[in-house]
Amino acid sequence: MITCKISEINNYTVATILIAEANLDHSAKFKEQLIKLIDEGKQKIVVSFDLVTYVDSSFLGALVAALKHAIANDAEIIVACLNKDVEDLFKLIRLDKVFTIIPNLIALA
Amino acid sequence: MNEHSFYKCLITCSCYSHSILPNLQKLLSILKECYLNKITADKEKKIKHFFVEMYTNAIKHANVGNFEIEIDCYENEVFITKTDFGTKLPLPIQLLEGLTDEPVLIYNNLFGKKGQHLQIEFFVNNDIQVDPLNMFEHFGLQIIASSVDAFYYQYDTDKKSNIFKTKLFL
Repeated sequence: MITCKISEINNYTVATILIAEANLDHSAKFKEQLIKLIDEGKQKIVVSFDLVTYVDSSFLGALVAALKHAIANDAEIIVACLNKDVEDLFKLIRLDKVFTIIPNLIALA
Repeated sequence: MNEHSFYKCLITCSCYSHSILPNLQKLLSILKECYLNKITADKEKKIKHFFVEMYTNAIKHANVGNFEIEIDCYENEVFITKTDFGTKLPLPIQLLEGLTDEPVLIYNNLFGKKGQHLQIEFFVNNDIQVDPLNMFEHFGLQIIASSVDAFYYQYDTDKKSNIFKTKLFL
């Protein structure tokens, strides 16, 4: 199953997560997709959580693994469109200090 | 604790991720019935965060298809305990064997310290800012410890079970 739909907005590569329950069943595939984008040379990746209703620690772990790979390759990962619950979870474990979080994709246009 | 619980129940859960949300709803229904308006939106959010992680941890670590969640309600606090029959958590040996009274850094900003009867109490120190490149990619215990008022772990060597006991003030 494809975890993310990939699109381009200006200089940004947008990976829109297509699953509502972003959990351990999907985390490995998600990480693989993000790392592939970085290895292809994409430097500004925006991960959109627009369709995600909840996220678990496995999925967040995959996102952080991808971020580490991005930093090592001079790329960046921006997180977008978090619902209140997911944003609160980011804040709870202080990932809001690690990722740039934007409320929507309008700023990219 | 001197008072007696006024409600106690045991839920047998299956180790599949599609069972997480139905069991979360079951837990919330029970708590709302027991505590009425004490389950505020903020409490509900915290319950959701730690329950999803306790469940996810069981799915990852249980060696059999089911595990148990016990709900034990007191007037102003609830204990929610997960027991799975799986592999012992890979924690520092000083913690697992109760060799020190000092808090031990586990990873990121998560610490453990010796509790009673070989229990380990987990807690987070939010003054610590972890560099992303050095960040450990496991956040489950951190999420639980950050969402509840107390979080204890014990490995029962006789029963070979992992016990996560959480306390939430209501």
